[in-house]
Amino acid sequence: MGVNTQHCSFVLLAEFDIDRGAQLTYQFPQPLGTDEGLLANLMLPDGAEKHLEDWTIFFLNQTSFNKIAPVLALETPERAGKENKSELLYVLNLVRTKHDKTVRRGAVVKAMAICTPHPFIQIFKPVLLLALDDYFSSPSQDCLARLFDAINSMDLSAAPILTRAEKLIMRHSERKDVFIEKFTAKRASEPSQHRGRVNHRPTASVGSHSSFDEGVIIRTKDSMDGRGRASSDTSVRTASVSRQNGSEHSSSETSFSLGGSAVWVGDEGGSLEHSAAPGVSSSYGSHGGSATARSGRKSTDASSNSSHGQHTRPPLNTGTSEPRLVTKDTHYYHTTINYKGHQLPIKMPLFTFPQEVGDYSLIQLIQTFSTATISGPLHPHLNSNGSLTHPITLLFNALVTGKRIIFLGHNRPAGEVSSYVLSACALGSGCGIILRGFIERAFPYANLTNRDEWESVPAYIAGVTNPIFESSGSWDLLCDVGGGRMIVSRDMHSSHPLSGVQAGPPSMITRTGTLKAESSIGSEDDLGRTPGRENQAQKSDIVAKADSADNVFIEDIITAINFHFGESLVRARFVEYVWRFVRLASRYEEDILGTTTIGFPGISFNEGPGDTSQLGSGTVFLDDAAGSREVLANASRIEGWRRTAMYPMFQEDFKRSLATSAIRGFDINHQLWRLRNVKHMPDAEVELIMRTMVNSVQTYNQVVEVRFSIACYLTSTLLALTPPHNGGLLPLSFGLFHQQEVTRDLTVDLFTQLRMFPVGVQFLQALNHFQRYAYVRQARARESRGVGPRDTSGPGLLAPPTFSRTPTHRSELNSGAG
Amino acid sequence: MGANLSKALGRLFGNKEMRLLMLGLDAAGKTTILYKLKLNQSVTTIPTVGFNVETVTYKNVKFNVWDGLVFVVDSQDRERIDEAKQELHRILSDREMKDCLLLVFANKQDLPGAMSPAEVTEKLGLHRMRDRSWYVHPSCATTGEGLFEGLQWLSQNVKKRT
Repeated sequence: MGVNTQHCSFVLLAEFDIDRGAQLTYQFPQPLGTDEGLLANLMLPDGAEKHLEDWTIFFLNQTSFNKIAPVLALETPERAGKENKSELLYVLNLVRTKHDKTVRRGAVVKAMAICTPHPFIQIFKPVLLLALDDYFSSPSQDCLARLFDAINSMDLSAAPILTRAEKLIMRHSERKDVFIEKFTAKRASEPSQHRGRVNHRPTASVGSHSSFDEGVIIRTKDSMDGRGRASSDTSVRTASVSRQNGSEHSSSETSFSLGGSAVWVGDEGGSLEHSAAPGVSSSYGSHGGSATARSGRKSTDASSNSSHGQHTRPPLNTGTSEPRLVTKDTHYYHTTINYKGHQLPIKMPLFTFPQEVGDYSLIQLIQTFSTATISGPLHPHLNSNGSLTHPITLLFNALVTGKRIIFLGHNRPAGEVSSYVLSACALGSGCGIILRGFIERAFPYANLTNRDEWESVPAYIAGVTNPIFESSGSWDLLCDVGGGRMIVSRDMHSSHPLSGVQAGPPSMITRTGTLKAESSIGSEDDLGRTPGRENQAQKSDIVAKADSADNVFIEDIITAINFHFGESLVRARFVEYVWRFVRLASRYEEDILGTTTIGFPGISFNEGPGDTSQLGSGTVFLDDAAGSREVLANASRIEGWRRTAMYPMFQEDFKRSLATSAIRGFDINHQLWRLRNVKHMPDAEVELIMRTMVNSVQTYNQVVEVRFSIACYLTSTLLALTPPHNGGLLPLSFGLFHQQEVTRDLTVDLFTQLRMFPVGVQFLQALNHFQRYAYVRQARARESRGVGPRDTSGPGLLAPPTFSRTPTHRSELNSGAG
Repeated sequence: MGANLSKALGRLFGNKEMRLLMLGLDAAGKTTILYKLKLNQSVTTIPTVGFNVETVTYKNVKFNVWDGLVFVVDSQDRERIDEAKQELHRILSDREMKDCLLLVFANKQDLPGAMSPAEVTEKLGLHRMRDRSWYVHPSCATTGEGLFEGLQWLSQNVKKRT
């Protein structure tokens, strides 16, 4: 979010003229250079007069017909430089009908729209409401100008920019303080909790921070407080990475204040810091402070953590402690828009991806369509479970295999169908995390005006309110919002003929060595349940199983929704579902084609003499039969997906992730899966996994990524009743109890490394008591043996203090023990 | 009564559904006619944005062909009858309208000084239209008078053609 980024590119105003129809009255600051009639008709949806207010969303710059061509280039230096002509513009539109007896025929219909490069357009709703009100009371172009200026003077420059992995962690975390260290000048004015930490008085404030009691802290120290101090001096509100320095200090303090039972593992040498990549030095600022804390730590027992706090403190907050703002929840960046003297609060979400537009709701989508009646022919791309395919699965299949989908809401507000379209995009793309290429072909509100144009976009996803579209044959799947119906086009087979490789068991390349395993929910069913599997590759012979993995998954989701689990859980589960789908696709490619370009090759762990052992990788199953059955069950839709434009995009993304991801050279998801699921792993493999991780997970970005993988990964195995983030480091923590000492030590080292970053601390806090103490105990033992995590110069450990639980601990503990 | 009307319409058209397009100048009474037929209620309308579609047919009919055009005229509005004529001829020149039946409702017959069906016929220049079946019928949308008879003409003529 550079300072120069324009938040609002255009403001539009359209009015319904009784004689001339929809008219575009104003375009500010300049004409968009696209069809005015088209814009006006999009802004004034069919039946707008039936609703007093309606929010709609549409996009510009998707295809040739809605490409904008302003005379003057958009005033955004950085964008102009990038030649971003085809960059998508998101349009948030508010249309309002005012009944007024004094005007001809008793009503006025006007609409105002904001065109912005930000996908989180919902943040502009309040200001757009006010601006349209203004326009109704005094219609003039000034209203548009005021709105334009107000939005563009909004300051997002201090908003933290999170990496992909950081966003993923944030999504999986319900902690309101996740990545608080990124909020340079913000965190401290936060009321009691953080304030309490800052002060670290052994008085009342102890009460607040002791709620983190028995957090495990191993403070690695270095002798470079100079660095820490210098960096905190310069840390005031710069957008660069280096500004994290100051905040890192206090966040390590945050962890410090975990304190009731904090255990300090000093590491005098600080060699860890030195081994870090230069780019992440900022993260180490925190440890600068801890050096000074050392004396304090030595002088007292850990139980009086407050005094440590005192000592940790000094160099840390020189530059940052003063200008503090309230951050209630770090998932959002809080700012304001000043509109005509009103300070409108803005909550900008920090965890969303470009394919997630607006405040869509997967829950609403699922609730509306999970009971839908499905009619029309069966098609292997869509009916992955034959006639028992769940409507939501059918929709997902249609989305990933690039079918033309219409959401129809007759007599519904256009905003409602828009929301279904956006939710569907999130459903198919895994909330924009796994696949892309959905928003580009989405028309959240579409109508007859330019029907030929959007209908010619391949695999469009459109929302309409005009029931005439039902009888027109140019869609593959129609989802009727009001009627709870899903209709597969009668021409489905002719418009999407089956071709290409059909997966059947005979053509599968038999692979040995790969440990195949379940990892999907429904695969524990036995072989006997798939009679006639051999010929199911043909059209409608797909075997329908009431307990197929997909059906179980959807039922699980619906149960979770019924138990009032939130949108974030549902999103997380679908991300994981889509992720699983592409992993299966990768496995499918290997089975059919012998090689895959969208995943790691399926290799099993190979124990060789000396250093030649090799870690496994690829999609894994618990047993061969279940694995190939699952691949087979997915074969048709995978084939369908492979023929869409999404496939090469994903290929490219995977290739790029191999080149750029922070953790390289091994398939971390594979290792985590093994740790989690395999009963009797060879000792050598566990050791190698731990060793590889210890060696790979050292920089900040690597820590972040490992957390992401774990979080993402674990959602699959958690019960619906457990929030996804709580599993945390569980599979890794089993390494603490491994029979081989070397593995235990490596695990301790790994945790110690994770622990060096605030985000890792938060994850360690999520371990249960038993695991935490296992870690503490072993870390101490290791130190007393004189084997520091990375060197031998560590001082003795302090004993874990006694608990002093108060009711406030509860919440924290509960979430930790989940 | 709404149900009765639907039943009556059902008898009228038999099992064959028809695709009708109803057009006209603003305030001619299209929405009122539509909802009178649909709900048997006289609704107070404000200008319709875009389209109202209330009955959609799909059996045996290709999408891009209309069975019939219902053109609604405000019989009291003499000033704009010429404009209505131009619009009507513009619509009928569309390729999709080539073969469709034309029903004109000379609406708002309840208002004083309303033009008679004959006058509307003449003002719309329908007499010169020889290669198309057309029919002008007086109506009053708020009470529903005349609507049924107009539709009956459509159904009979559709049957004749098929």
